[in-house]
Amino acid sequence: MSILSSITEKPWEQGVIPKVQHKGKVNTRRAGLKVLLVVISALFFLFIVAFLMRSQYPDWQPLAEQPSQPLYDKSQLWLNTIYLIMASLFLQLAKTKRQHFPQIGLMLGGLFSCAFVVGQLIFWQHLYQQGFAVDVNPALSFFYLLTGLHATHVIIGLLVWLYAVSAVISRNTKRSQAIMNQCISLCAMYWHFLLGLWVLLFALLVSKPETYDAIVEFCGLGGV
Amino acid sequence: MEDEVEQDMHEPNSFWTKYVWSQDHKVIAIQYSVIAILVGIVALVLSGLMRLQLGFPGHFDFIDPSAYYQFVTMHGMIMVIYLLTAIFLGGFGNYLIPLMVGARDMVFPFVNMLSVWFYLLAVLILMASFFVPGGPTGAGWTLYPPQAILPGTPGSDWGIILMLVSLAVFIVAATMGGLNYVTTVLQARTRGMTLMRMPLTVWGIFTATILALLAFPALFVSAVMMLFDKTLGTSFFMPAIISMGQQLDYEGGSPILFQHLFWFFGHPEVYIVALPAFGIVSDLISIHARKNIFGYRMMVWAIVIIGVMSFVVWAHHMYVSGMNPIFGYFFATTTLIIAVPTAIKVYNWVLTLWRGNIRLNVPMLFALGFVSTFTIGGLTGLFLGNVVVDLPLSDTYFVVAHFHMVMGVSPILVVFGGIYHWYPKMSGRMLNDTLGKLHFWGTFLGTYAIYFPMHYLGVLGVPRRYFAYENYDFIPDSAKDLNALISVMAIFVGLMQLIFIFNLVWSLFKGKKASDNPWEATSLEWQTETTPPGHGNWGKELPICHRWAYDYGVPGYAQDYLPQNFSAESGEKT
Amino acid sequence: MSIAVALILIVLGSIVFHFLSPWEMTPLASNWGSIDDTMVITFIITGIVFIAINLFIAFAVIKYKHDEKRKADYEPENKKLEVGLTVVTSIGIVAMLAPGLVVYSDFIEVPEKADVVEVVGQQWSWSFRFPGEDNQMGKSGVEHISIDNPFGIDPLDPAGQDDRLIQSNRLILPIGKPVKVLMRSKDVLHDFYVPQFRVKMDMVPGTVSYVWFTPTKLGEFEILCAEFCGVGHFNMRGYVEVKERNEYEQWLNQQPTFADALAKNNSEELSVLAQSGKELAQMNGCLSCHDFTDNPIGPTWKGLFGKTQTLVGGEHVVVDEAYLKESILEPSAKIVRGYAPIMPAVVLDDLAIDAVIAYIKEKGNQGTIDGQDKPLSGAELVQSKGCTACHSQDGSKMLGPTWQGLYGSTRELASGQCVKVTDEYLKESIFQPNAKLVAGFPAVMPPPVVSEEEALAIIEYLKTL
Repeated sequence: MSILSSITEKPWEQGVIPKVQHKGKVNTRRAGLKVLLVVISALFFLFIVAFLMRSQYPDWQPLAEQPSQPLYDKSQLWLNTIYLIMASLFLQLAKTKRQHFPQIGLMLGGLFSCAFVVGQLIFWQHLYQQGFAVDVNPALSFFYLLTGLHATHVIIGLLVWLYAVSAVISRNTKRSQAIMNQCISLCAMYWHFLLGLWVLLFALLVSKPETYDAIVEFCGLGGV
Repeated sequence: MEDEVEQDMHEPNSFWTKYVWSQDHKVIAIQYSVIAILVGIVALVLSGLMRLQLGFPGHFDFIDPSAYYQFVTMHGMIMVIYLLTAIFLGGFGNYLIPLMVGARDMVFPFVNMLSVWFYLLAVLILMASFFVPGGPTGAGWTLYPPQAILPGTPGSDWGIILMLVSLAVFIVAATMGGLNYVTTVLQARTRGMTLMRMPLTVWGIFTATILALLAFPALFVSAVMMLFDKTLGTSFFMPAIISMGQQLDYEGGSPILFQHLFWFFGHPEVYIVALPAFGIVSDLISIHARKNIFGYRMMVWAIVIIGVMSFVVWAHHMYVSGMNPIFGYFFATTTLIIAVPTAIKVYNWVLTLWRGNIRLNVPMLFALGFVSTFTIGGLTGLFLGNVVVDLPLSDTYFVVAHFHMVMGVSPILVVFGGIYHWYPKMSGRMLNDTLGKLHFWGTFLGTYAIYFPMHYLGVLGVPRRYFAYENYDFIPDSAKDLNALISVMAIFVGLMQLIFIFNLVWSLFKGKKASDNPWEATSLEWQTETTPPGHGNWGKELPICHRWAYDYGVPGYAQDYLPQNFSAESGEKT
Repeated sequence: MSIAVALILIVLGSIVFHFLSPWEMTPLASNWGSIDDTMVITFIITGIVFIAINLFIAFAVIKYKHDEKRKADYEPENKKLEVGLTVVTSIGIVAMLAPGLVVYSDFIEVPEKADVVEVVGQQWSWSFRFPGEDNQMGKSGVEHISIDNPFGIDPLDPAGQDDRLIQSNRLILPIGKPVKVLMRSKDVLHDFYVPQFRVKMDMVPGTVSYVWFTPTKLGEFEILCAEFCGVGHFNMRGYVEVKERNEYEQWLNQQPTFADALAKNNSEELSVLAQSGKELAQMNGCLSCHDFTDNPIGPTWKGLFGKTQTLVGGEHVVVDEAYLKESILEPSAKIVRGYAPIMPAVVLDDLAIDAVIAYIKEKGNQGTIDGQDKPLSGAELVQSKGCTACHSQDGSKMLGPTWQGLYGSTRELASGQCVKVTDEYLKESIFQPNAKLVAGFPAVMPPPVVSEEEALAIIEYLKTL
């Protein structure tokens, strides 16, 4: 039943009672995760809007145009991206190829995610050593803010991953098996989301001024 | 299905798991409500202090301008976020949603428990700001930069930092709770409970929760960026400034950017408070008038439309902010359009009374009080929403009177009405009726006496957030007398609330024992086997929903009401 | 039942209140009568709804009181009624919005021939700037702000050289001419608001905002800050005086230009120690509350050194080095009467304190040292200090006791005692106005800011009346 028809029925008229309404625990957890992903999307969407609006002020300097700018050398960031792709890949394999050692996929997924977080921290330190501290210019402030927040969300995901790992380590009962499988399924969705988010943030932070000026034009965000 | 993880049905059996680390939505609801009421009393006392200064300036030496602005700020922030939002979503939402949709509990009980502890943490962090050097922030609940983080504003050292951190923690708590409320409504409704068979209380809280999940991120964004500006020297919101004679390191940021982000949160926030109130009051009026709510479908659509539109009206708080003036056209239009579904709700409430069979008990009195005060509050919003009329009225007492009516008076009357209504279900006892009526009359008439005349001070032009009004020629002495009178009424209304607190505690032990369904209501929470409902709410079998929530006075039946789980075929409740 | 009565009484009470209320919009003194009209339209429409809803509730509650034998009606929906109400409401909304938006478009579009004036806000005072003959404001920026250049005008911009600067908090505008008010802030958000002109707008550091209006009435109007800006927000005083065009132009031509101001400051001669004191006073923020004008937020430094100050407790103290040092390190130790205890303690070492004191001494007493200002007579003083605003000299009754025949007479006090008006009594009443209040007069006299010599001159003058 579509949302529209469900919201226009006349409930005082008697209707049919469906056989089963309850959606089941698995579906419920997936639904809950989807709601959470909507919230996280809203959060980053607003940060991106703030970024775009701030970019229109005269003191803005882009991050990746000149060799002297902090993100001109993106190699570490590309490496981190590959780590995150691998993490997503292994979690997806763990989820779908259930018969063949999902535990390995789970572990590798977590390992690559840790590599990602460490890689981001290494890049931060690299920037700081070059003198690109957080308050040097607004674009840089956003860089630290956005990558930091993204990495925090990866770390929170790793907490759930730890719970799944604990289910693996405990005796191989049917219950812990089920917990592990469900966690893998949820983690996979979450990780794919964070990968997509990272790609978006990465692209935005290194994009040319013409690009975000065009976006600002299109959305009418300039001149507030 | 091999992936199913069976629900633990075992009951908690130690004191700690039953009442402290409880994952039961009913206990969590009470925890939320108790914390909210306690912190609300703090805010009420702060408002009393503010009114003492405004009504009797010069008499109270310990209230200096610094302290006064700190009271103003903490009063506002506590009331809006830590009381109203927490009690409607965390209190009423937690208690009623599973019961009203026929579920055993929220879908993520562990996360639900975490949410109330994070809420408590947020409250403690905020209270801690009273004890740090410099005291709590005095920037106004709107926390506008640059002043919020600069000297010249109280609490610009530690107070503002603790405030922002506390808000961030609260937002995490609200998200954890919100996930539960939304997912439970979508996923855990019992057999036969279609969306349109849910009581309006659930619709109101459900929609408000969606708003909260989408709007609180905006507050989080602005809080984090302001925290960065304060602690790390970034310039998100800080332009080049002179402070205390010296130019600071900031450059290029925009205070107006903060305002856009803040009000993108701030406007939906007022609907996060109002929509649950709308939902609850619809049910109170319907039940106590023994008549179905008039125009149920329109009521649902109005809630949804108001929820959606609440995201496109925010800059009506910024008409005089110096933003691009062209925006004024757009936001004035959307703001006045949002008045239409809101007005329809008011019509439907009063039309429910028409040809009803009205019981003027305490919950009904509070519900009627809501309709009256919300009407005037909403109508004065039309003055402020119309951009050009807002020019003389902005930042005057007209605004203060308006937002107190729509946020401080009417939703609080619903909180009271709701508590009088559901207390028998929660505790098995009735609240004392005489004390309830006394509480109602004192509060209702008292708040009218406070806020109705206040509008006129605003029309005169008296600005808000002023510590004192000495020697302003355009303010006549009669206005000073009015201020004194308002202060007296405010103290009176504040003291009246003691009656309520006393009633809450006393009735727990000495109140008249309540039956399972003392108000003869149809919704599922009144059809539980035990009162208060036990662990798992429903006993062995979940109820089946056969009808909508408003079958009162149905033609062709002897009974005055048909509970939602009443089956016409078997003639019994299932 | 009582709720119905209450609602009816509330409706009636509100109507009576509205018509009896003395609190209306301040008399309009600008062209924005259209805003008032739009407000009236809104009020009428919303007033009707307010009355209708409350009376309907009262009526329904009375008519449909609970009756065990009756059952309520069952009416889930009434399409026609609901649609009808929606339509009527929408019409009401349009009736309010349409005129509002029309007037708003007037507000956004500034008339071409409007004058321009700039209002500069800072914590917690106002200053103003006119564009001068070239009709162009010089560029300004926070980076140019210094004690010699409080407006922050770019000294290298030729357009700024002839800008007229008004450092005091009093702006004069000509009647009948539209004026575009540009607004900027040096520090935090402020808001320029004159109730009688109706329009207001925030002043945002980093941008320039504007309003426009045409003054239509002569008179003096108070400026209020209408955006919270810190602890001094409620006391950020200013005035707009609307005068005839020729008076305004006369006044404007007397104001210093930016070029004048630059020249004047270069010829200032301070000792090296006082120069450091000047920098310290600027860096530590002293100058935001204390300066050398007549009435800043904190006690003025003009003529401060050597002056006798009255403290909150009533004692007098002579301002010497020791007193100044104490007041810097412990501001709340000896608070001057009439000032709020909001000065933060300043941490300075002994040499720094000496430098600041030297600055206060040298610059504060510059006038008297040069002998440019001869002391004013008692008659001149009572005018310039504002005493004659409340005390008449010809026997007519004003807010305060008349001075005619005052000296030597016997007066009954509010306390019932009788007192003879002697030199001592007059001196006490100048420094502690409400100590011996005359019966029949309100306790509203603020202590005037006068030195001991000036008070004696005033008393001598009063003796002649």
